[in-house]
Amino acid sequence: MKYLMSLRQGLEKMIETHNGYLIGEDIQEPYGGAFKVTKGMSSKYPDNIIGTPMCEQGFTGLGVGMALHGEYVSVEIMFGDFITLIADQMINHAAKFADMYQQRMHLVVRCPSGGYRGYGATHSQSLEKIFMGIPGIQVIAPSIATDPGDLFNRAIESGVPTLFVENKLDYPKELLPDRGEFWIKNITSDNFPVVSLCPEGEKPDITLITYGGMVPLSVEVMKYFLYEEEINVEILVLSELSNLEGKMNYVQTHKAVVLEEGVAEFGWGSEVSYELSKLGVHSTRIGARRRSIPSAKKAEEMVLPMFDDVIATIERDM
Amino acid sequence: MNVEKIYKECYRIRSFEKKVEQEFSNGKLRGTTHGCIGQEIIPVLAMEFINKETDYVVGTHRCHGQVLAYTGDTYRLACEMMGRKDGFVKGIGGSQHIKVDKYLTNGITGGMVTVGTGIALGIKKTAEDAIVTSFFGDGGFNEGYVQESLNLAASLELPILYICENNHYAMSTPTVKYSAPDFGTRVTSLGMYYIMSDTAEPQKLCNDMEEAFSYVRKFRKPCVIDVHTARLCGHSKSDSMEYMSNEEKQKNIENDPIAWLERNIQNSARLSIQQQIAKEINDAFDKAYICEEILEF
Ligand SMILES: Cc1ncc(C[n+]2csc(CCOP(=O)(O)OP(=O)(O)O)c2C)c(N)n1
Ligand SMILES: [Mg+2]
Repeated sequence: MKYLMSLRQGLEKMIETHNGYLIGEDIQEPYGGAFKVTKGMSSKYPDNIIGTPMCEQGFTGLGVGMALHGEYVSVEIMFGDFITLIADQMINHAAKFADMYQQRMHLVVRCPSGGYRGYGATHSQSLEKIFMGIPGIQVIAPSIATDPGDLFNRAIESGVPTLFVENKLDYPKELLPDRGEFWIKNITSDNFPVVSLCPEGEKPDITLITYGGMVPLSVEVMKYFLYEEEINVEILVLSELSNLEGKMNYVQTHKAVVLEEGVAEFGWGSEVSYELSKLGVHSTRIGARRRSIPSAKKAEEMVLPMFDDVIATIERDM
Repeated sequence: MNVEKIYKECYRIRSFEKKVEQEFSNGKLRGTTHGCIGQEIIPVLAMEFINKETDYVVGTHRCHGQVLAYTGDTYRLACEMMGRKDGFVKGIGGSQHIKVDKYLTNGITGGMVTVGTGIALGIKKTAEDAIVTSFFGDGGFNEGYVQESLNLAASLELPILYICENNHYAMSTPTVKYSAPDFGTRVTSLGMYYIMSDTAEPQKLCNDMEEAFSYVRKFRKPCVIDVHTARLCGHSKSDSMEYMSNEEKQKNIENDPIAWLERNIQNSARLSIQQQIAKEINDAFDKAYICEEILEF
């Protein structure tokens, strides 16, 4: 199944089970969302798909309020870059109700993020780290290794306000379990599982820890080392980004590379590295450089993490 | 209004946008684009009243018309869109992130209204003669920060002209259906001067623009000119415009201001402008294709 289809099924399941709502710009027919995730849904569920004018802060507030009233709600932010506009609703409102008043809220804010498409500085970023380390909200990322629809349903059921970080390049991709490839070694029983990918029957030499849109690149890296250098790379794909407790125990090696698409400095990878250091695992971080993401192709590739960067880092660390 | 001159400027923009559409469908451009076909005359007429030496201009995501009206430079815009080093920002910005001289834009809808308002306060504090022209869309009008800025401009009495390029849609969303009660009521309730105009009547639009600019210059107070118009192309490169009825599209074509301009100039003038611009655009793109990308960033 394709990533986008799985996601749409997850959204439909929420509507079917809880009479849930979707809120956002241009999510209705005939547009069906900027990335077509909600295509067809407003014909099927006319009362549940709520189109809004452009007012991210206002309509995220609608979502928080509806969730306080007991509804199941998912808000779509057209581009992940615009989560800056909803920070107050999420951080100073939803998060506070959840943490201080132990208020359950079935609210998931979806935000298609990421670059590599030449869209330029305000339409390419991975800004999710802004929402990490905030008590009361969680940051969850699906990937081709972690069934996006199922993960969405887990997030909405959890009762914790969630930032759900999708990657635009992933929508048309086939999910890994359906590709007839045998990389998936283990899916942990955490509510938001950690998936480990590894060449069959081999003891890994080094661990690559990542999430979301970096998974396809990581799989390419794993294959490269397997076929070209006979090095076994184990990939750990996390889906719950904002809580690392216990997750590093799944690392089977003593060397790790942490890969994210967002700016490496002050990032998620730094936090993962810290957790690894407590276990005596040596780690390196890879992410975007601290520059605005250019529109020009070569310059964009100079800023965002690329296949060659990961290869070079692993070669250096082996 | 010098119809021939206005026609030439508009025709340059339209031809540029058509070329961009073509290059995208040939797979020669990457990223995205927001065409302004049908709306060209708004920035072109605005530029007639902007003093490039002193005034600041802030724009929108749909900025090609604004940039070309401001610079006339099809080569540098083509380079910017292709990510080449002769672009306004060396290709780093792309279609919607551009700065040139005192013109600046960005990809967050309505976002430039806030900073344009700040520039106007700077101008006021330093007692410059300049004013700010701030373009924004009807969809952008509904962003909270746009309302905040209008209030600030009105209460602080700032020298800024807000030009709403009101094409009635934010992507696929019809703005009227999602806006209460209407923009005129909102603006006038702030005590701000409000003018409504329409690209279907170019001569009236020109007069309205003149009035709007002279109001801001004379009274050093803000004004909103709400220019109704129609986008004759998709919102962006991937939009098939299913949300617009055929009747509406037909009506928009009939009201195309460029067609009005063509009817009001000599045939020979029209043909010579068309030839000249066609060559200019082709040369610009040919040259842009051989320009290099920057090698370091
Ligand atoms: C804050 C923000 N929200 C959403 C978008 C995505 N987006 C880009 S243009 C657009 C519609 C803009 O409508 P309008 O302001 O009327 O300008 P128009 O496109 O019609 O020129 C949307 C939703 C954006 N760029 N920024
Ligand atoms: Mg509009």
